Amino acid sequence: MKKIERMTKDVICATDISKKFKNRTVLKNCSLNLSKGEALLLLGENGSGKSTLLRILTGLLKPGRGVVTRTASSIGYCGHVSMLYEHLTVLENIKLFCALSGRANVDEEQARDALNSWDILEAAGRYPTEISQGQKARVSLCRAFLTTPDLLLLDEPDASLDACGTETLLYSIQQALGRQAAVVIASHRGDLYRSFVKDTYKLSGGELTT
Amino acid sequence: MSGAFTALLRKDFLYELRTGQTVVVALSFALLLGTLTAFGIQNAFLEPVVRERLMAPLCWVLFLVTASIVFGRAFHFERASGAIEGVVVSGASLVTFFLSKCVVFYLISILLHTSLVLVLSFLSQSEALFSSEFVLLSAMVLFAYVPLVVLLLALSFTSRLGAVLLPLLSLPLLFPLFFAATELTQVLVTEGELNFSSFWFALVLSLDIFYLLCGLALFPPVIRD
Repeated sequence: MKKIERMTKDVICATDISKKFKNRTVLKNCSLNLSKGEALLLLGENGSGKSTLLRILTGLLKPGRGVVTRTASSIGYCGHVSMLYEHLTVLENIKLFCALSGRANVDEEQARDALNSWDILEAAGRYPTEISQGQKARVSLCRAFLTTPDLLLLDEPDASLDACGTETLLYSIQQALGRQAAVVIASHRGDLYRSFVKDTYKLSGGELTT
Repeated sequence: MSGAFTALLRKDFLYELRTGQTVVVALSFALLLGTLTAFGIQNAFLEPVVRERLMAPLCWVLFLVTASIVFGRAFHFERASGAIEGVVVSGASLVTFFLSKCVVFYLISILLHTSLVLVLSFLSQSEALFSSEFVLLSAMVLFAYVPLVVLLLALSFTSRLGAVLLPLLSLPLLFPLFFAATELTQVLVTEGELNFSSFWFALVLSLDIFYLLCGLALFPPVIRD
């Protein structure tokens, strides 16, 4: 009964997730769940399967075995690639993805404010090919947070950020948690997030341990 | 849905406006192939009746060849930097995405087909294809062709065997459509009117509905997988 009650509260629940790429097992029976307003930290070495697990949680990748149940109505995802259209300017990309996320009410001023909060307003009129890797990461994060999703999946969000960007990231995560969003963060820098995460998981040899 | 649909259409039109990749390639190939074919016909010293009859298969074969080249890379910008993954994660309806692609491809197909017919007819000094019934037939054939080609392109870019898969899948699926189009055009050229009660007309009409339904049903799972 308690399990059912727990599951109804969960924004995301992954049970016994396994994934193989050819003969290489990347994930073995991984299970996790997360409720509204909670953050979960995923640690692990390079190639341990963090990104694969996050892509499975977003629905971009199908698990070989296991079930992912999402009750979140909207997802914000920030991965290793920018996921931006290269022929659209930064501002046009932000507006496009807001419209696609059902947030067509985000007007140009709000989009500019959001870019300003990530300190990339000066790049608003430039194309993604004309900005640096760090700026692309900021644009991706800005887009993920601006759509105010119920579930945020952040794959090494701090990887390309400087100290100022990292500060904005931490502030934005706390804001998201404050409006009851669930947040999953995959990172090598556990120390950054430990103050507000509910659980810390470690991925090693394809297995998820607390 | 309308907000997302408009945003997706705008994205595709801006791509064309800024890169001109599809439209410029379409017009260039229409001009090149249309001119070469027309000069080939001129040099063969064919009887005017034979020349008129040749217009039917030529206009459709040339369209098929040119469209394969034009649309072959039309989806690549969606995959660059993982943009299409952004669309999937955003929660936008993939049916909306499919329909927006169909609208853009339909407009490009009309432009390509019109240019081919005009170049071919003008240089071959033929008026066989200048009729409102041919416009109707062309609109119907392109209406069936576009959803199928959008679906096949999605299939080919999500598969590692994409380059091989596209011609292998498209040949048997497009053959009945273009065969029917050629038959109907032939009748239109020789008899001066379209036979609305013929089997070929019914086939084109059925394929209009069938390929659209196939696209609507299969495009979302193909993109997600």
